[in-house]
Amino acid sequence: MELYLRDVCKTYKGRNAGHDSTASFCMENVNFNLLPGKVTLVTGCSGSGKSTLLSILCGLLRPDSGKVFYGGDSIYDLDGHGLALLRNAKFGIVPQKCLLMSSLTVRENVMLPALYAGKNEKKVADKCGDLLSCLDIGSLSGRYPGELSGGEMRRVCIARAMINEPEYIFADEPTNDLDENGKKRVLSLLRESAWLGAGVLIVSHDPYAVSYADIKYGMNGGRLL
Amino acid sequence: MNVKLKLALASLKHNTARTFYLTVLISVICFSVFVGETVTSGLCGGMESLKKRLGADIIVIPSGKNRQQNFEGILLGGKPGFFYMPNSVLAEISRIDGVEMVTAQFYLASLTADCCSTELQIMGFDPDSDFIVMPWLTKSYAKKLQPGEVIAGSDVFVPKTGIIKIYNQDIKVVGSMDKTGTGLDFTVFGNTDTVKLMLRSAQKLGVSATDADPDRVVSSVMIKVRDGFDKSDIVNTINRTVAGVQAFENRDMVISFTSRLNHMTLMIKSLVAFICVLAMIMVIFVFSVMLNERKNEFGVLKIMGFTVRSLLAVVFCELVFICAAGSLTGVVMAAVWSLSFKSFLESELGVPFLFDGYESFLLHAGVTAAAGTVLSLLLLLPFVLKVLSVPTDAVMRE
Repeated sequence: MELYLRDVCKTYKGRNAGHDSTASFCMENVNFNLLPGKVTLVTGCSGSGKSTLLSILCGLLRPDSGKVFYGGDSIYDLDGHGLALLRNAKFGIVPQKCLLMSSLTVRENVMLPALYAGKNEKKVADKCGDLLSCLDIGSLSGRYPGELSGGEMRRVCIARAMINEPEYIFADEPTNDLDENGKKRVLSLLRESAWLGAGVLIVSHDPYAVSYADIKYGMNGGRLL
Repeated sequence: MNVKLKLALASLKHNTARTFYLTVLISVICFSVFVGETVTSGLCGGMESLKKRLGADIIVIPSGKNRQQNFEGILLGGKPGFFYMPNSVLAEISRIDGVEMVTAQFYLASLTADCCSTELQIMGFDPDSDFIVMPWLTKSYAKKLQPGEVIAGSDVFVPKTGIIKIYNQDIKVVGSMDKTGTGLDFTVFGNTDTVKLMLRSAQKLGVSATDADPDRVVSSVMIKVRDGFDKSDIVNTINRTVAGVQAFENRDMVISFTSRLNHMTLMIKSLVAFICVLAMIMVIFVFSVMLNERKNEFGVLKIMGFTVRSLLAVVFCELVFICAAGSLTGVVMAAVWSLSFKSFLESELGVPFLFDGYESFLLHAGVTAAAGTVLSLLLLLPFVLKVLSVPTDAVMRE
């Protein structure tokens, strides 16, 4: 199903407005389509609005005006419960910050969204094993996040975003903290997901990601270029 | 296992220090509340028991410095003692207008010497005129007490033979009383003839502190006032017209003890309240710090599609475990403490203290544990709701 936003505006001040804590940030009349089966890359300098665009698109940040449509319906017309279920079932999100549940092992962290969705534990465990191997962190499955490096945590976050085989994957700076080999593995996996039909949005200022993208946008001052 | 429950258990297990501190703090609250409740209800029970046992309107004892304290010590504190006044006062008091019934009591203290099994308070009453002791004594022994027979208070040690030696007299214990929480628990009760026999024996042995003729003395006179007469008027009349005695209303003694009791319970309740408030502040502080540290965790769960209701269920499960474990630990520790120090409280507080029955004790324990769990949950839930309402997009950014 198609995911797109129309005439989206978002303004906010203070600490959410990029590096300048007093500046107001404005995103004006943005229109954007995230296509299934394609890797879309949005680049831009810090504070240009990349992460805001991603947050609005994946249902985490309500725009001031304009709508985000999924399958023809406005996702922000759903209540919090419906929106959460949509995120769980259809979207896979890799946040800029590597956030994991400190009380769960790598394997449990990755499996969590799928088990929450009520999927079969055995199948989820198999899928989890495949993803961890693919990202070269299979040997870390029993470790806790506190025992991992930044790059390893980033890969766990990516595996977790993909465990539910989402229709859309949103990755905010997915190559941060990764070495060249790690970047290659992560971007290849995202690329592979797109080949399998997922719509992938990568927000990054890493030039390495450019070669993996089908569609590229630049962003500056809250506008897509 | 349910994912939310699994998540809650994993969090409790992984953060053992946090779980431990919160559990300990909540257990401190429940411990204080339950111990405070046990002690204050014991004090109130003792007072009620005292009121029931003091069946006289007016009590008359020999005049003298500290005599009333001496009497209160015998009756309330279980401190053996004795004092005597001529038995002629009985006739004098009976003639006063408004006096409906009078009965005399006779007190004697045994010794910790070869002649006696143990140090005891002995209380003699006249079965023909008594209206104080008999009504509740008959619950323990329905027959008429014979000379040489006594009923023992609940805390008096009685050998298997049922015979105790007092001033070389073998006295048969024919029954034991229910606990009263007063000095009467350390007293044996016999008719006046039995107690006079003991006093004579003590005098023969040369260990008696008095050489008074047992047939010519009494220790106290208990008075029941006729309806329609003012008790304080009769007290004044006795104090004015009968030489060598002091009369006081039963109520005055109860009021004096109620006042002491009120001070004690107020002190205990204030202490409990202080500990609880302090512990609650610490619980809130630790919990708030813990929640703030976990904002990112809640955010990431929201990102992966957990609904606020599910998050609430996770935190609620954790809280239920912590609050229930804390409340149960506190109550169990308080119960162990209360039962261990039960005898100490009963004997050393210096005021009547009657411990609740075990049934009531267990009921109180259950109610305190349940209330502790529910109240701690109610105390902490607003903080959970506040944290869960934090916007998720903030978590997305560095």
